[in-house]
Amino acid sequence: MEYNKVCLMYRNQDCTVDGIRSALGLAVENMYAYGCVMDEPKMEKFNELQAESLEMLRDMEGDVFATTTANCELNDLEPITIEELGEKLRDMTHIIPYGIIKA
Amino acid sequence: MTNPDQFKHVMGITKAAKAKGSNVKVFFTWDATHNAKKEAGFPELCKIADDVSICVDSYKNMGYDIDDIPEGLEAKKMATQAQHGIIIEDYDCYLSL
Repeated sequence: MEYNKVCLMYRNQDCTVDGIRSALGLAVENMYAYGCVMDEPKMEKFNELQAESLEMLRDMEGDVFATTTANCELNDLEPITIEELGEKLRDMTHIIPYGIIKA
Repeated sequence: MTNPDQFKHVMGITKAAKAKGSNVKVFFTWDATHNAKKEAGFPELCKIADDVSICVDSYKNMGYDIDDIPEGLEAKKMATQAQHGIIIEDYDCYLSL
């Protein structure tokens, strides 16, 4: 059986929090689900529930990446460059721009 | 759908897809849950599309009372992110706005 591989690309701080939950929902539906926090101002520190969501996603073989070092260090996200993300997207069945850019 | 400002396109795409004989499911999450309360055409969308649902957790986070069910929706359509997964699993085409 072929499983869907989905990458959600987050465009702002608050949609990142929702989008990780969405990735978790997809993982529960037996998909490989990933998220990537795109360039943006520094994120806020995850609360306990948000950190748990990330942990559960990783338990289901998903992950969340970020393109900035500050966001990776703050919330224990996997670092990824735009070039590496581009390569990764080639392997996806679905690519989902998630949320809108906010000032 | 995550965007609060693109409802007219959701309506247009849904009408076009239905005119071609396709099944359409629309799922609103995060900022886009404002559409359910603020767009006058939302009840019509619920009639035209085969399935419309919203993320109830997002709806709550956007400041709405989860018992205040938007016109056009049934309580069971105030749902979870699993609805998003169903679209990806069960439909041939997927569009994110």
